[in-house]
Amino acid sequence: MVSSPSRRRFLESCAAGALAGALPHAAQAAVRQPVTVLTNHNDDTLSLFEKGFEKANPQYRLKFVWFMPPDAMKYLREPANASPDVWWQAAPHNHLADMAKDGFLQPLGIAKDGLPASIGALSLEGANDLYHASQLTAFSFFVNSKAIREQGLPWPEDWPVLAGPAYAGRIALSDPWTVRFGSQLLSVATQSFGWEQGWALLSAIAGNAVIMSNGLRDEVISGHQPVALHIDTVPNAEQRFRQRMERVYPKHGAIVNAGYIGLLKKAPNLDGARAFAAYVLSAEGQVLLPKSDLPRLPIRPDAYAALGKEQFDPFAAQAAGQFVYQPTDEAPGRSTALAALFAGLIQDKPQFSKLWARVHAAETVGRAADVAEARRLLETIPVAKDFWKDETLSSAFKPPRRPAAEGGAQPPAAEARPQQAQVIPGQPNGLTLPEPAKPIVESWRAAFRDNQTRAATLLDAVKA
Amino acid sequence: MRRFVPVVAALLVTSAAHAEDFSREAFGLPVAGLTESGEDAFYRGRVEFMRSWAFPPQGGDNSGLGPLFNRIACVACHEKEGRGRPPDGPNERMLSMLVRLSIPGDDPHGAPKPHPAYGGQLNEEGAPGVPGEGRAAMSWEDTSVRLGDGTVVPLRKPHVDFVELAYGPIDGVLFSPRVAPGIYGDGLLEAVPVATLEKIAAAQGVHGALNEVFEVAAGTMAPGRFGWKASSPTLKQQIAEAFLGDLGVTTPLFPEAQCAEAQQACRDAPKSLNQPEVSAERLADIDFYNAHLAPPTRRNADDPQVKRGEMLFASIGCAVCHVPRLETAAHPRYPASLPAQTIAPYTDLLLHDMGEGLADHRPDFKATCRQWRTPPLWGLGLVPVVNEHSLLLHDGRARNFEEAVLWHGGEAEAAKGGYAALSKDAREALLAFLRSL
Repeated sequence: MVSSPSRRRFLESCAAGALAGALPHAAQAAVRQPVTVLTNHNDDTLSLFEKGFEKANPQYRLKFVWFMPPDAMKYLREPANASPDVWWQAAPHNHLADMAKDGFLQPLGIAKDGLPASIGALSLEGANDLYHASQLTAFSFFVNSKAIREQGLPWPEDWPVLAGPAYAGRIALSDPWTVRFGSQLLSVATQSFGWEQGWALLSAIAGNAVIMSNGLRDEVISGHQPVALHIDTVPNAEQRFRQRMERVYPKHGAIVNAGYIGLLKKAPNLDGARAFAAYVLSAEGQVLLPKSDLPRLPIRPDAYAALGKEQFDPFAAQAAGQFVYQPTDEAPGRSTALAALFAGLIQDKPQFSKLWARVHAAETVGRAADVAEARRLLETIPVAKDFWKDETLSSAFKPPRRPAAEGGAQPPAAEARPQQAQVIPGQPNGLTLPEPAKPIVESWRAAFRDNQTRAATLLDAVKA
Repeated sequence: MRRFVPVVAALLVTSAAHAEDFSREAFGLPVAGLTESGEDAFYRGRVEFMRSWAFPPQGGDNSGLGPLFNRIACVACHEKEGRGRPPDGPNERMLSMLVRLSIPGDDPHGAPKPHPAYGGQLNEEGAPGVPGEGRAAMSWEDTSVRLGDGTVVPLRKPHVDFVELAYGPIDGVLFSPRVAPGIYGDGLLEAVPVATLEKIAAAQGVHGALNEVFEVAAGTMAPGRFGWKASSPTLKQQIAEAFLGDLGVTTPLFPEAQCAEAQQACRDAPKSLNQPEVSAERLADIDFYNAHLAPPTRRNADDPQVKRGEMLFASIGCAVCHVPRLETAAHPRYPASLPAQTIAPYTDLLLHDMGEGLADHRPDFKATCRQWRTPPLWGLGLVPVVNEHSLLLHDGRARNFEEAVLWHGGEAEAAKGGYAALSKDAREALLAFLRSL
């Protein structure tokens, strides 16, 4: 064993060495102003922006205050808390819009060259310049490609592939009644393929699918279900877990929501806040978004040119007509009506899936007219595309208003919109069926039952 | 079902413990053969590793960040389970490195005595209402070294200045800047018996020694093996120390927030509803995760230049401390998933005097101000792929393998001299070998 010099001697020499290294360079480091960013972005994304922003703006240093949006709102509403400078929120719901209405934000006041005002009908700009979208979330298929290969399934490039017999029992689908994104999916299909054809696809896919309120990710990761219909953020995140999951943007896709950035009215460092918002929205900042462990889609069309051909470009998809879906008709009542229609379609899910299996089996052996009629019955939706224009019907689905708080105080904006609160698969949808809508829904359910009974009779007749 | 491959020759490393993925994910893969419940634990641990922490009392499971901290997630410093890097200059903050602080003297357990105003580590960030302690500004001084054939190799030497100090003067502090190390292969290193390390120390002819540190769970002194100065005895304690020191997150091993005497706002900060903020179960998950991260498999091991470099690595003395092969025992906590095997970490886990050039002038338990633990070399060839830089040594001063070799001194002076005396071709071969690790 080596003999060590005495501890005292080392302490003395260590102290001398440390001091010698500490003093001569102090003048080189400039004092930098903090820019405090309230956020719920993942750390990898924040690290990328921190490096880029501080390099481009050496007069500032970023300080992150990490809160999920509901906690962030609580924090902002507490007068004793020091105000951050910027609020940069990851999707899904635009809480900045809620807080802007309550006067917590101030205009961005930055140049917006190269920033589109919208993608399709989704506005990217906040009213009065109070916030701006900073990243997009798209609809995608969450795919376990290993399971696809092992089960010999056709590659799920678009919805019709999932409607075929090969995918019977091999799709995970969010229950629109309990999962908000599930009800959004109904609009994506019916807008992208047309009302009747879109519903027909949904019916066939539902026949193939396992309908779930949560746990879709685990089903796909395990390979039990090779495909789930999902927002792209989830498969993006899962690539860091378990095994490589693939994200497929189908030919008929959709932007489902955006994340936003805004300046807080009480920002102590307004110039720094503006500089950070400008950086996030700049071409340099936007190209960082897909490079994170939790990649997201930039909101600048020019960013995609720098990202290469491998990067999915929602603006190109929009221009090519692939994104027909517009979230403008996602009013709470209409979402409830659509979810109720879907619930009616699958009210006897085992029997419904069996009917679809019989149709597929009969079609493969070339049975004709009766089988086609059975298919048509399963694909039929009992209301027309413009059903929501019926004011009697639409008013029956209107959610009941919450009573005003006592003493004239208004409830927080976000709490007043429980049905818009979440778009994350697996999160509660919060749908409730208003009393006046119940007879309408019952008539729909009866229509579905009748169609499915008739389809069964036809299939019995041809011994399918 | 287990898929461990038996050792078929003395120099064949058990391949199931290594990951054959050379992408940016190369350091984040589990050892082969985990059971389903093992995989579950591994990925639960990864959730903890990637978790962004929120300020108490908000945040649910994420609640616990601060009151003083460096970053908001483990993965922030250990990007892709790999190595951190120092700033390029004084106006760039430390994003994946930290500065340990102390004053002369020991605490009751023999650990460095914390600074009365700044504690044991400079925490640059604070919770709302709690000032961050300040900032360590790193600058670089150019220097160079001449090799035997006349080649001049540029080197750079770091200087750290403390600025924006929020709690008064920091005069007299001992400090040690350290980049975040890669965290793969740690379970295998933990499974190397102490007796093996002692045997190496006795036989190697230089002055390697085990650190002797305080093991919190046992309440006794124990050999140290993790950290740049081997100041942590177990992986679990190392993780718990990082939770507390880097994130301000408490664990069953360290249940109290660290607020120095002068930091009243720190002591008054809101507390998390979760006490400790990481439960024993969550700490066990991240321990399992860290322990089962596989070191990557070597590339190009059969390339003639690499083989020549490997021979040179041994012949000039590098392999005396960077021991190529170690035999592990079954891991003390995970004997089924980490059974006894041969590994190739290129370390002896011992402290060595590395000379004045690398001295940090801050003792750490038995480690003197010139001693460092021999860092494992496995996986370093993939750092440019995974972490997009090639910076090496405890403070990231070496910009490549050659600079790292040339900073060696003290007990490694002879090996450095051996390298400096090599021909250009031979040096290239040795560097090719290092890149293959």
